[in-house]
Amino acid sequence: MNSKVVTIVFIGLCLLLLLSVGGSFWDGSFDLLLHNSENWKFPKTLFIFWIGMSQAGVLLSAFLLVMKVKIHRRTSLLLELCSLCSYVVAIALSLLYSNSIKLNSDIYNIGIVGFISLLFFVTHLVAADSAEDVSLCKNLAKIRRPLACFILPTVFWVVSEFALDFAQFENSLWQGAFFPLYVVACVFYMGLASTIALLSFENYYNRLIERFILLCSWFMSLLFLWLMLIKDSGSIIAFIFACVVPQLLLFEAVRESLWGRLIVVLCIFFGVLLKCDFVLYLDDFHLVSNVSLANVSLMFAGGVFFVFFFFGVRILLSRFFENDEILMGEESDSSDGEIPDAEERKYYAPFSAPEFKVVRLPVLCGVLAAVTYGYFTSDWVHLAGPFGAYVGCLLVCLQPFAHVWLSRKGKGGRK
Amino acid sequence: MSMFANAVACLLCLIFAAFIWKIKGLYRITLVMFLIVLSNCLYTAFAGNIAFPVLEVYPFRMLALTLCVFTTGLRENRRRFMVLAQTFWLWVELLGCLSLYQTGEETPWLRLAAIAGIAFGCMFMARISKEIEFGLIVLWMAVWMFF
Repeated sequence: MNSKVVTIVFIGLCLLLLLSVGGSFWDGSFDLLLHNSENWKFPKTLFIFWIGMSQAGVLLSAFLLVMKVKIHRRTSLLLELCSLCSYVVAIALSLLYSNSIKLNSDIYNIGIVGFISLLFFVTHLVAADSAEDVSLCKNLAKIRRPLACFILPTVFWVVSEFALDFAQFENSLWQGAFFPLYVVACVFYMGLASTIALLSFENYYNRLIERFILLCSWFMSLLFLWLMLIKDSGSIIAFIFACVVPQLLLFEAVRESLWGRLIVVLCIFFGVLLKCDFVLYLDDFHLVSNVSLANVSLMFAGGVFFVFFFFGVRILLSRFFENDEILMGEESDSSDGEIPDAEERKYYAPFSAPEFKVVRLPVLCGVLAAVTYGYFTSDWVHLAGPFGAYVGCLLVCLQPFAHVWLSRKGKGGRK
Repeated sequence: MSMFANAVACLLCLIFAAFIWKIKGLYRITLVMFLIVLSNCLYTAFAGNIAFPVLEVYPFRMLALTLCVFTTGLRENRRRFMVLAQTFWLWVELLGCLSLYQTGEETPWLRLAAIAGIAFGCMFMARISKEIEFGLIVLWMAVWMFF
């Protein structure tokens, strides 16, 4: 990790935060920051943004793992950590400005995804720690893909459900089948953008992700335009920032320059933030026309909190594990719990793949738990699915410990 | 959308799938996929009334069908990608059904059940022969046209 750059960014953000807070005295908006006012709606925009970020990292990490796209352990760990830190920022925002951010039952779904993400991250960390029990690490590495198989549909479902409920209760213009699909695509896009930003601090550059983001920006452009066509309204400024600016990555000078990449990523985030504001107020210029230094302060406060928490945990984990490279580095192509190529090409008969053997009992128990929950609460749409996934993930995570315990007991018995 | 326009959409999906089979390389495939989604959107906008909520996801349903047909031509990991493509279709349909259900309109649950059934059936398939491939394409077309 490039500590110098991290320090400079952190100090820069702190200075900007101080300046904006100081400025908020000057423009008279300081009261908004201190008082939990119902009239100040900007915290809600930021909350939606950070909730999106909280799903983005883990969604991308699980997606790449399920699709067997090889990425370094560092990249997936950073993505998972980014998700967890975004959760913390979103929770802090919702606690501080509870009058502005009204939470509904979706928060339980998001909480379940947060817990599963934490399990996914911890499993990844412990599996990478060579100081731990070797057999436990191997067993934990084996459950990463099965866990990803649980996480991916759960995140898809929770984000879709969040979007459907938002359309139903907040803004009826977005009611329809397309909006959830569009929100999931935006979350995925944010995940790709955050990867490029986070890897920049590691002095590392992933060309595959950069290609993905460029290709994804074409599809995002289409989705933006389709939404404008079917709803007769859309944010053109958000489109320019989130979809047009990333086309600069087609130029080698921008692609190869660290600052070029960072500027593109910042533009994407700003575009998504504008879009979050637009889905709330349906005004292209709402964020710009209602800008106050209190808004700017809150935006920088979120950024500072995220950077502090993210790099704090990152540094803490580096110290905790003796060898930094084992935790966040790339040992070899097969270090990410990947199955070697020869084994990957091996043909498995239906329902006989190693992953299936790990997930069959947890899936069964998860389905039973979901059905039981749905039967007793009559809530089949909101929480039944995530609750089943929660039970399934817990059982998957318990398996390695059960294996190790049983093998030790067997050895003890023989002695 | 009329029955004829629906049939033309199905035909377009088959043509697009046949076209993707011949393309290689990440950039080329993505560019072709982009053009396919663009064509789907344009077709939906011209052939149907996009104010109708069901048609919001029509281009993506077309994309899902294209991907399903495309997976029959894969040489490696065919079963896995076939199931994934159908899961994508199922997800798009499910969102459509839920949003229609929320607005109190008639919901095509049968189509959803049919896609889920075929996807589940695909999981049991060992080696997929040419005849089964053809059968699957016919089944998907039947789901597209009649449910």
